[in-house]
Amino acid sequence: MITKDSSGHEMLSALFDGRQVSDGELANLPAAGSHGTHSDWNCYHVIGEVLRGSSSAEVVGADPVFLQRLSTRLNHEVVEPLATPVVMTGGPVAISAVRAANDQLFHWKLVAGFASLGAVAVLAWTLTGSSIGTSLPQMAQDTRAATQVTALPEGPMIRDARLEELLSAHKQMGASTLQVPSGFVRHAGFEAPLSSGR
Amino acid sequence: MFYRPFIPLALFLFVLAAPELAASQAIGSNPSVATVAAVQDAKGLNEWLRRMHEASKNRAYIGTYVVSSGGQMQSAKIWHVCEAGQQTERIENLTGAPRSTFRHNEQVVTFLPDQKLVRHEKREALSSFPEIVQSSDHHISDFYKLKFEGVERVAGVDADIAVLVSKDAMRFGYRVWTEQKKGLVVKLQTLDVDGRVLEQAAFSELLMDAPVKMDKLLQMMGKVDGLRVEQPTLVKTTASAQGWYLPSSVAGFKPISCYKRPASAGAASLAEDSMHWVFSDGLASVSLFVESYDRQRHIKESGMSMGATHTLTRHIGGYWLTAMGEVPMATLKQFANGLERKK
Repeated sequence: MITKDSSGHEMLSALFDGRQVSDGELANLPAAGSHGTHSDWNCYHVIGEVLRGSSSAEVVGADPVFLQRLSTRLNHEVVEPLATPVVMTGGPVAISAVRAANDQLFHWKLVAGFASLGAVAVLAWTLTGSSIGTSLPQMAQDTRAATQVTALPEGPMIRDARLEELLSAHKQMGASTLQVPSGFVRHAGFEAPLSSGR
Repeated sequence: MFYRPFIPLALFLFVLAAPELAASQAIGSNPSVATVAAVQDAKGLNEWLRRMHEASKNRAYIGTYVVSSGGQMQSAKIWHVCEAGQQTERIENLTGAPRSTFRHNEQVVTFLPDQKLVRHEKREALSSFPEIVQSSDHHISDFYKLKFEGVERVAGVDADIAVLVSKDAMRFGYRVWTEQKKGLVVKLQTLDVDGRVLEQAAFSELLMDAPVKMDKLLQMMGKVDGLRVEQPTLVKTTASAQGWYLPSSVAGFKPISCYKRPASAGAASLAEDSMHWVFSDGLASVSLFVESYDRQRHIKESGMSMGATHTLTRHIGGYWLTAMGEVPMATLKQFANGLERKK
């Protein structure tokens, strides 16, 4: 239990450890922008990553010297064995709700929360991005998805003069009333420049 | 015992009623109803296509046409007139190098002022569509279904919106806006199998029944003084004569024409003329270009898509195939896989 006169840093550490804290104790948390809070937060984050087995090279923003000292100290810690599991011998058993193994760890809840927030942000950006696009000319917007140059596994095609010649011949000879006048217009005047598509 | 005398009468009446019984069963059965509906659908679609084609020939108009394809947007101004069954058209492209194209029925004259060049060609494909609709009966309706979506105003005219939905994954669909009075296409979208727009062409400005004078257009068409004249000739042939055949074509696609093309400028001196074999399902077309294999130029098989147009190359024996068309890549692959050389 966290005592009332614990420092704000100890409170922060308690939160990382997933210990339950009351509303009153939460009030003792240092302000987000106060001096040292951010660096403490970063330290506790790094400690958590190391405990979970991340290599020091993978932890972003961590001081490698600090990580090395922490890793060395952890290696010298004595690990107490877990309690002996209870063998179920029979009889009715009250089934409680299944809880995730990391449910007590508050930082996992934070990670889950940020992930959800991130997903919502991406969705919102996508929706607002599509509405912004309506200000563009409708034709350009409609065909943005068509600007893909797909390639077979063997590789992309080079648009050389010969290919342009064949494209022109294809447009001239295609038989479709749907292409009138666009098809005729296209092969009459719209030949893509050789530099495009390369 | 009581009813035995009536058995012959019952049999006689049964023989009389049997045809009616069979007919009533046939009417109630699904295959018969489906056939009637299919024929009606085919007639409706063919009639709609014919009306659209007639409007493209017969309406006089001046307009600015914009085509968006493969990430590029290009525009041209069009003058079109039809008198006494003769069609004449002038197209001035507003983007890219200056170019003026005139068409009088199947004759096409292209002026390239930067090169001081004029090119004369004959394009039979421009008049082949009615024959395709008539000769294929209801084949187009076997692969496309017509649905009406509503009404929209395009370039100042009210237009009906129709969607030609492809019934399989071997061809694209189309959303077509036709002006309400006569059916002239004023906007056209090509849709992939998921309904995404691959390509779009539309009038941004349109003046219907414009006072376009055919004789003036023909006069402009004939002004070739001081210009170098090119008149490329395409020799008609058959794929069989060129040594190729396609035992199993893609469903709905019929061979339309076949031409010999001159060998590429960069080809080896002994290269044969190439072949251009054209297929169509009535709305979409596929070209198979076959030329002699040249290891200097034909480096590796590849593919590309630009808007609705897809292209695929394949090495087949001593030959090089370039398949292209406004169809999905899978369709081009099926064409390439099916092309065989006669032994």
